[in-house]
Amino acid sequence: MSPSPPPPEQADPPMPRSLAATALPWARVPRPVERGVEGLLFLSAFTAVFLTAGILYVLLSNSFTFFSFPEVSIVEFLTGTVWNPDIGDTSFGVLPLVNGTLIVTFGSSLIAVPLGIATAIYLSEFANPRVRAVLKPAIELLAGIPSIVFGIFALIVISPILQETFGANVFNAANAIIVLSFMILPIITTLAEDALRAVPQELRAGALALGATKWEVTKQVVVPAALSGIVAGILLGFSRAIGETMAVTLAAGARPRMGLDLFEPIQTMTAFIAQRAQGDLVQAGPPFYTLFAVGLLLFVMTFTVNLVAARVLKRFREVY
Amino acid sequence: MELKALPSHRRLEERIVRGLLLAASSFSVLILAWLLVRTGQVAEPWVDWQFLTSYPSILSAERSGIMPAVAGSAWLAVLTMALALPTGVLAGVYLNEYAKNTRLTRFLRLTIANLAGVPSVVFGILGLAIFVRGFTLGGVTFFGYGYVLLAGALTLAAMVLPIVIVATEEALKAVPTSMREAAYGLGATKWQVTRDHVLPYASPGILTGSILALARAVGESAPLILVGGASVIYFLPDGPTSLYTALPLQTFVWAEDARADFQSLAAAGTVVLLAFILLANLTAIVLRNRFQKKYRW
Amino acid sequence: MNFRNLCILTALVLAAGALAGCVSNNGGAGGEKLQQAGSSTVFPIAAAWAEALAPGLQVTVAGGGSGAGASKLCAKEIDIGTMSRPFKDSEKATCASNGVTATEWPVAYDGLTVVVAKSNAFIDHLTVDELKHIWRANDPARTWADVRAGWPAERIVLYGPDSDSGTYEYFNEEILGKNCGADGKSICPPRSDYTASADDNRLVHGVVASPHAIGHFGFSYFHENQNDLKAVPIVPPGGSTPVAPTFETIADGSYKPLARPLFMVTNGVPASGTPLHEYLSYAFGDGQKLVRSVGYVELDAAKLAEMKGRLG
Repeated sequence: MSPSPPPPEQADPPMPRSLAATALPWARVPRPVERGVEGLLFLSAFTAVFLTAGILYVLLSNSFTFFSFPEVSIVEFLTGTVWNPDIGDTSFGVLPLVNGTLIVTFGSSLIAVPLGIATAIYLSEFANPRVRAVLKPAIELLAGIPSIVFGIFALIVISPILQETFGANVFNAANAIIVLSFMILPIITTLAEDALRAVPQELRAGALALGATKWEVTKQVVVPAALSGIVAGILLGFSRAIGETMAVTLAAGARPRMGLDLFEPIQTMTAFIAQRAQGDLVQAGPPFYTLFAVGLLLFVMTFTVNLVAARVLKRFREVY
Repeated sequence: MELKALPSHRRLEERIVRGLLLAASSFSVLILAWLLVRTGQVAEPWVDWQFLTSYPSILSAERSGIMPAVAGSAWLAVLTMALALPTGVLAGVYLNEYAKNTRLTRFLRLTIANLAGVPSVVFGILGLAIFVRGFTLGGVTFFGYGYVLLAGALTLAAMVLPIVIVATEEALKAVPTSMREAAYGLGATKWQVTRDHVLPYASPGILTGSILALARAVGESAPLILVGGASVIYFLPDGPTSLYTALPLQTFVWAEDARADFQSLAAAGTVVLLAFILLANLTAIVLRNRFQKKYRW
Repeated sequence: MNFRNLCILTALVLAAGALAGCVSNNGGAGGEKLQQAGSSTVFPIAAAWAEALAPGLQVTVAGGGSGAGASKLCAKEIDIGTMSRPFKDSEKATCASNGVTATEWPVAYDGLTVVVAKSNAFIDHLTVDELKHIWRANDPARTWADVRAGWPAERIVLYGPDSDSGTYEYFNEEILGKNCGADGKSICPPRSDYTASADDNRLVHGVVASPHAIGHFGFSYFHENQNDLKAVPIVPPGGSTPVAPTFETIADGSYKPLARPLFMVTNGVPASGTPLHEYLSYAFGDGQKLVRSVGYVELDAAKLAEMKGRLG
């Protein structure tokens, strides 16, 4: 690639393609092609809109069908505490499934949030490069492990231990809570670490100059400054836990109930959807359409949490 | 910061906290290692060449193998990337190179970000309702392929699309503006600049990101439960319209079987799946290094 | 990108989608591939036969429950439905209205087994009335002490099939009766506070884990998990001696009332030379040899002859 003109006795260097385009008429990209390409590119980006529209259409139209059955009412759905869509006296109160989801979400967050933030603080403020070089890829590795693997972990390793130590049922909520906390930990750690690193060095330097120890600086200056980013990380961890399916389907059981007993089976919204999908899938009355109603509720919950997290993150990024 | 100059309680606090933070950080990694080792111990007697090349058997865990699942996952991987890669890369190119900051563009970005946060099981519902069963509008049916590979691939492609788009955008952002400006200066059109200069430079990053998206797609089971259909397959898939099983699905079926032998098979399936994903990640790293050498400016 | 161009592009995409829809192929009936779905109880037999027939005949076996098997057959989505109960009249009507002649083929016999964990020390047998007391919807037994005096006052933990399952219908009809509902002729529903699943493996998992659990499913699932489960002998109605489910008592019919035939259902009698005909010939030929290894009882000679005759 030489910008200077070649010495006279040598041949010209090969022309860059774009130069050829202007000089040689047949290599030009004509205007309509250019417009067509832009159209194609736009369409590719628009695919995301089609997909979202598809999801909304499927969830909304089928939920509408569900709620127009005489034995189903929206009020009962949202406030009822008995979920029994199939057997005998059917009852469509979704709260037991929501209860299951919330138990698993908050339970795993209780473990993952302190651990995740601690890891993030350590990585960002304290770790020397050698430790970082080991720990950070390890956390990324954790993030890349598929959820079914965690489900197997829960079934094969965690469940027997809980059965022996606490007399737990083979399927129970604690199985899922424990493995789920490892699934959401990388999300919290990554976002919290990004937030902590984004805090300007001047703030730390100023506090250190005033005589604080590193931990005091972290505790009183850096973490509060990064708080929005950390909160966003926690919220996205929630979102992931709410949407998690495999670990709860394999290890948490299939009994929709209210109550907080951790060593008994429960059923989350996602586990119910997976269970329903394996059963009768022919259009036939309310039991089939519960799939979509619960799916819609799940979508709304994760969408709301994601929206709040995005707002918090945006506010944080604007500050720094 | 001279620690010794501080009063002792603050010094102690600093030391304790450092220790606790290190413990907390290592805790999760150590537990992960322990879980992997325990599962590996359960799986180890079962993973051998016979396991990798046999069909599953309902009668005997010893005779069971994972071959149709590996084949199915391979097919899914290829089809999913064939669908998601062009769409995602072109979308990323549009957003980064062509889109102006209009309301429409902000709406597009918002939609993509939102899609990234949708739980995988909801993609499964979408796949079931539209790709498997079909969507009829005015007498014309779109999709509706049944429980075949194509429907599974479409569902997974929908799920990884945001990942590919984001990876593409990141890679494109890393291309120096000077390169684009130089090309424009020589009279190139926008598409020529993109096609001939920007994309080649960004392709290692795009490739790496796509392989990571692929690893994610191969490991997903929730959508496949809804879209996969049959629980037992005794043949290898022979095309995009073939019925199939996949690694996570087969593992799931085995895990649900109450017999202890089959639980061990599930552990073995897990090991094979993790090997697949590890392979994908290593490939991504190797390719990135190789291409970085080639395109050094 | 203005609005007009957007409309044109959207129209093009829809056209492409429509074309793709025309090309769609449901992988349905025909060819050397057969699709089968339905009962979890019959699943071990179906899977064993599919395994034996591969790769010449490729049969995919899915679950879903007897109800799903029936409705998918009627909707022409599958070639063979598997059911652990007979076709209902309403299902026959649905099939007929869709041009499907539901043809039932009994393929084996099952003894629906009531199980408890191996660690359960107090149960020796149950009568039909006690089973009814445990499972009925109206004021069922809460603890084992409610069922029989002297048993522990521990809460009963229940596992059972869900309403898609043929086992559900069969068990409830035999134990709870068929005089319920508005017309007084429907199967009485059971209590609703149990762990329900159309996948019998789940139920096995659950019962194995608790000494106070009880469940019921096909004999095969007990047979495969004998080390962890105990089959409860049942006192037949009108009898006095408890009968435990074994291959013999199922075959000679003395395991009452829970011995039952297992069915595969097709659309009419398949013509000779078709893959379906080949499948059924195998089912009534060498396939019967596999039935016992899976945990069910093969057909008796008379029934077998009848089936072969019908198949032709």
